[in-house]
Amino acid sequence: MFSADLFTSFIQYVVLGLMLGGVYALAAMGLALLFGVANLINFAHGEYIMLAMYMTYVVSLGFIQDPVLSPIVTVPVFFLIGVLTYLGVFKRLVTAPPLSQIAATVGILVLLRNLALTIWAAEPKAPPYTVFATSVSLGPLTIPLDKLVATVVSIAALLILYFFLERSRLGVAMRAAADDVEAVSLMGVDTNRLFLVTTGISMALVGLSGSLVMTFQAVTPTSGLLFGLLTWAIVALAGLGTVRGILVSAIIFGVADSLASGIWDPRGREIFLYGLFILILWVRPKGLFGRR
Amino acid sequence: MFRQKSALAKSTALILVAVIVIAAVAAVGIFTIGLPGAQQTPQLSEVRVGLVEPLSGAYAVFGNEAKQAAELIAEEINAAGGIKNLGGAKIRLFIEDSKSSADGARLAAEKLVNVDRVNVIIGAFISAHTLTMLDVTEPKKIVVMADALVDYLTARGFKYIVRLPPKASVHGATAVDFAVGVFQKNNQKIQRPVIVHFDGLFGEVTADGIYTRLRDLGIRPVDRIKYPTDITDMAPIIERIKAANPDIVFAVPYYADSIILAKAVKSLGLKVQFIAGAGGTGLADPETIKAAGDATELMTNTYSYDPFLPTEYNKQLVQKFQSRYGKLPTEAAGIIFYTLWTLKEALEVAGKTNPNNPLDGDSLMAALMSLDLQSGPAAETYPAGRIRLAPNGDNIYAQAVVLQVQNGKPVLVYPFEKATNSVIFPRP
Amino acid sequence: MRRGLVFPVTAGAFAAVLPLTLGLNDYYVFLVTLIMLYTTIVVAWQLIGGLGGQLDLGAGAYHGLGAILTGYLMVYHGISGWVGLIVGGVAAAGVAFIIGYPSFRFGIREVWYALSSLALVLILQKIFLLWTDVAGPLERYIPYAEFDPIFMRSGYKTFYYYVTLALLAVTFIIVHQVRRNKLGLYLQSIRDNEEAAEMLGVDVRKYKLLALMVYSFIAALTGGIYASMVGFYHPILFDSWISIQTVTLSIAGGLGSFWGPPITSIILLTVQEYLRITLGAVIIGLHQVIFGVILIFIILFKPDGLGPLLDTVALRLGLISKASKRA
Repeated sequence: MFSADLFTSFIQYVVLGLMLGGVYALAAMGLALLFGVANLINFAHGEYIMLAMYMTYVVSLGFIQDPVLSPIVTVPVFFLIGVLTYLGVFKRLVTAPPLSQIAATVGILVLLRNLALTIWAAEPKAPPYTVFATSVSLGPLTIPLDKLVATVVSIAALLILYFFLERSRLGVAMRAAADDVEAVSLMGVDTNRLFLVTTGISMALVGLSGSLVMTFQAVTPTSGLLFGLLTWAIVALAGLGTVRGILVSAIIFGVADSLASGIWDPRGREIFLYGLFILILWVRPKGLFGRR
Repeated sequence: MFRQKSALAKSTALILVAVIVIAAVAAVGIFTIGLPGAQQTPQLSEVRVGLVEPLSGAYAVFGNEAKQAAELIAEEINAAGGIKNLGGAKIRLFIEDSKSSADGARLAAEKLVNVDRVNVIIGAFISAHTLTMLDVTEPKKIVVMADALVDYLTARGFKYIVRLPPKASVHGATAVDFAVGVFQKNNQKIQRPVIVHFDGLFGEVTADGIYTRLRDLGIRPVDRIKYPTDITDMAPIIERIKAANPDIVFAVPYYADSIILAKAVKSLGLKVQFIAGAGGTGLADPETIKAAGDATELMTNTYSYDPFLPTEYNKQLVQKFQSRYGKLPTEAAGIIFYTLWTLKEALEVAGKTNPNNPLDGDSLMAALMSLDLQSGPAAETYPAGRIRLAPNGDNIYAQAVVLQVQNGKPVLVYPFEKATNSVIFPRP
Repeated sequence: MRRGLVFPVTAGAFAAVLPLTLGLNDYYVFLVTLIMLYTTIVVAWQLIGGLGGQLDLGAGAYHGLGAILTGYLMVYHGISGWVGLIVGGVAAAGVAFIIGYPSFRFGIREVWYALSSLALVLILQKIFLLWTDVAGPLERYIPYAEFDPIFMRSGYKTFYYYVTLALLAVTFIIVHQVRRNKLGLYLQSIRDNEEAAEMLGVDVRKYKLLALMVYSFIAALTGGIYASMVGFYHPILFDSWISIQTVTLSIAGGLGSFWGPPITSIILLTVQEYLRITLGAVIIGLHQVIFGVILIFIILFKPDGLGPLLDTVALRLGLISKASKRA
């Protein structure tokens, strides 16, 4: 009897982790795009996600109660933010040495984190209630509906992105740029515009994932750091290449996250995730990111 | 050749000038800032009272309420003529922000002691922060009137500290006594209690208080769950509580986590007969009720202050506080009420018994120890109505009360004889 | 007097009497000591950042580790803080090695070291939050002593001031020597062109690791001094803000410049403390927002920081010799 309960708990955490992984994949995808296509190191990626989470919170207080519906607002707004960030900062950074990119985006990190601290204070914020507040029962497992919807939306978005990258002209140009920027520009593609759009899409993904992740967690000014390191770790494991790679990598991290905080200790979560990251550095270094 | 010589002369001249300037500034510095008594001694036209509270950061909710209460009371004392036995000296507040961190509290204490030259410090609400202040105040014999609850503050042999509110373990024990009483009234006995608390110093000690009391009554908790202070997702905690199948949950939260707890209980549909808080922070105060909505309905918490205490002064004060600040005063404000008034009484005594140096640490401590207040504003705002300090600095007559959220408002439900409303039990 | 020594000697003399200037007031001396502790980290950072070309964000981790370990040994084993400092330093160097080793291989992009050093701050914080025997979520208090130089504990902040001053001076000397000798040349060659250096047979990884370990050792020392000074320790001392502050001040001061970072550090930190005293908690996080803006601004518009400017001014004033100028 006891072990059956434990087993059910375990499966419960794994399922929760799989769902979490879907949303994490969406969050990491934006980073992978920017890093892969524009070769831009955005250290503040996590902070943008945090910003999207806060925006979801504000929207949920004001107009649309449910975080799953707030992408209606956050996605276009963040696309715009992406465009503005590119024009304001990233454009100059694309040609700068990596150290400068890191340093400048660390500056953005600090800016956004403390802006959040000033505006919303240190307490965790979460949307009041969600329409999908019920749970679906699958045998002995309880699957919260709101989280399920978030995961489904994430997967759908990833699928759309995949087809975009494979089929559309812009998508193909982006993938080509990831391989060889010079060749792409030689072929007459305006790399400046390409990077602009890439940043926009990257941020739009941030907006979407930020909203969806609010079904799982509350947001604090330190959330940015957590998501930043997490998405970079996912990118590290996946390597730059395919949407599928990111998804698999994100699911691994999602399940690890859920198991660590459920079975061990909520604090163990970070140790596990970042320890995994450092392990990756030790074990699979060059093959994974020796690409350029 | 010339260039070398002039460069040499230039550098030497520079050094000479620098040394003279430094020596001059050093001399001035020592004479104005350093020597004891060199700084303008506060004329006994004022008593400098330092207040260290978290005005920003995670615990700002409490600190700001404490600040509001302090300003209100200081005003009242001064308007009524100040400290008569000190020639009408006025209370002057020096308010510092501890920034909700231990080193922030310490820095604040350093400033108050070394720069503002306060005579006494009230603070710092968070027990762990108060302990760091003692590192600064004890050596300089500055009395600390603590509005923090952890037992250690008065149990470690610190000489210049007093604490009027009931200590953390008393809060824990009160929660248990209250709960046992409630169950008894409904012809039940507590058999499967679960304790949930945050892992900071205050959470631990209060939870220990609950645990000890339960054990003394022969009841064994089924589970004791600790969570990180900065937790954002309580779903796993609720799961664990469910798994323990308790008949009552004792919770010791701070502020933000109490909101998350209440909401999680509601959204995950935790069914338990009763949820009793301990420690006075979160769950049943106006701010939490506002933030968590009806998720806090029927929850209780223990408090060091009873806003419904029916004495004349208290009723008047509560109304004044409410009309000025728009909310009911609870824990943070309440403790400040009677602490500041007690200080006033002690100052009066010190002024009489030690007119040459009334504000000295030893003199002030002696004055505080000599008090036995059974009337007056201090006693009238204190739950048990009587303030008298034991040698270690605790109030002998310390007592906590319990408030329950009924229809979105906190009401007094314990001690049962004094209750304004009867307890609603069990939870639906 | 030799040109190059004028500035350091004058500054040193001023620093030596500063506590007296402040009237030995514990509060002011405390603030000044704090500024000097952080400046020490900034100077040491030049080894890994300025010379090694790595954007290290681990200062918070090493500083915190020094604080926790030194504090732990003092509280639970009654071991003198001096010993604790060394233990903390060695531990920090060891941990630095663990993340430096895989990241410093040829061809590995800088972003991975930057990320793992930042992750280190969080990992260590969580580890020590869970490790209740050593730290845990409760603050641990170091026993008070009015003046116990052997134990390394004192109620008078002036004691810590001079300890820190000594550490700062030693750090200056170390960094200066490294810049001038082989290690410094190797590091610079790596920074300027890693491929070429590798081809010329420079052991890239070894020299970066060396620089990293010296720097992390020193950062840990600052942590130990801090813990003893404030009288308690807690995993909250693993603070990513210290990492970011160090990087910001170093970059603003100018990577590769010797005097730029410490001068910038002292100036900006003093301004920050002054603002904090006067404005209080008016707007929490404001000074950090300003730091963020400074960082972005400098990278975008003046990537060399203030260093070259300061160096030129100092050269004109005859305060430093050409040898001290930007490497």
